[in-house]
Amino acid sequence: MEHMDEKDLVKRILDGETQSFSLLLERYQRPVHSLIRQIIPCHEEAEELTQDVFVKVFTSLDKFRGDCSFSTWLWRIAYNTAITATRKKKIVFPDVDDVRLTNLPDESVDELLEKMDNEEQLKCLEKAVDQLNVEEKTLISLYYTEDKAVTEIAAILQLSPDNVKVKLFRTRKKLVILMQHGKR
Amino acid sequence: MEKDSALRNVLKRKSGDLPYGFDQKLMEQILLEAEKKSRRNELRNLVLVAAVSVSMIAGALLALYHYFLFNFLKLFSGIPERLFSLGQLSDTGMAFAFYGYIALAMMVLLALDHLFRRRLKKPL
Repeated sequence: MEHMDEKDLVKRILDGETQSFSLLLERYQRPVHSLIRQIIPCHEEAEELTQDVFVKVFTSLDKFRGDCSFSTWLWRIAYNTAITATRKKKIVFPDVDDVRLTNLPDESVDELLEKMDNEEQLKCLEKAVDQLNVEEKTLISLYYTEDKAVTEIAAILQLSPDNVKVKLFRTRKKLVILMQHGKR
Repeated sequence: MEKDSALRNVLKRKSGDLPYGFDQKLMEQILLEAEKKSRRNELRNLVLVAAVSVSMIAGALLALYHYFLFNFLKLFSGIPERLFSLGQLSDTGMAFAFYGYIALAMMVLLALDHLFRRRLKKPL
């Protein structure tokens, strides 16, 4: 129903009802800003980038063919805009050895990420999240904050669903390793 | 879906809030973009119509100059005969060219009309 409703809204906006765009803004500005903030730590930059995303969405609205949901198309624009912004800054993200990822037991990852009472541990996890690359941050934001299904995340990031599952799995392990490294 | 609640908690903390009036400011920007887009479209349509009109007028003038100028006096000197004896025109190719031009112009206009109607009614 939401899928049809948004396509109808897009049609009305393209027919000249520009004010209807405010309904889409209302629906998506906070989630998009939330994703951008995960990737761009600076407040002002994140706000500016969020504005850029919606201006791009509006100016490209006539290119929306309806082959995916409007939500997927919008998130894709947000992700691509964030990628471009970070590429310009040439930030280098730390990488973790594949062997270390494989050797880390799944149970310890589950245990650590499930519950943290200690504020210090939470701050350590926060720092570890900051060290993830853009794709990894987007993956965990869409999965945990926006509660997106793996198939939708796959459509947004233009990956296969299996690839998304593997990357999520590896990202969780990477966070634990980064936390362990941060404690030393 | 409450798995990895610590990670969810951290991501929620990092989200941040939008400043007051953000949506109003953004909507103003969108309305500005809408106006720019509308002006660009108007200009593009004007240029297209002007280009097509000029090319058609130029084509008509060219046809008139090349095919009818030499027969201008002949046409006026023997009007009753000429009107009813098209087959006796010294150059039937000229007639074909004239009517061919009219046919071509009509087809171009019909094609443009069809194109513009489709673009205006284009569904998603």
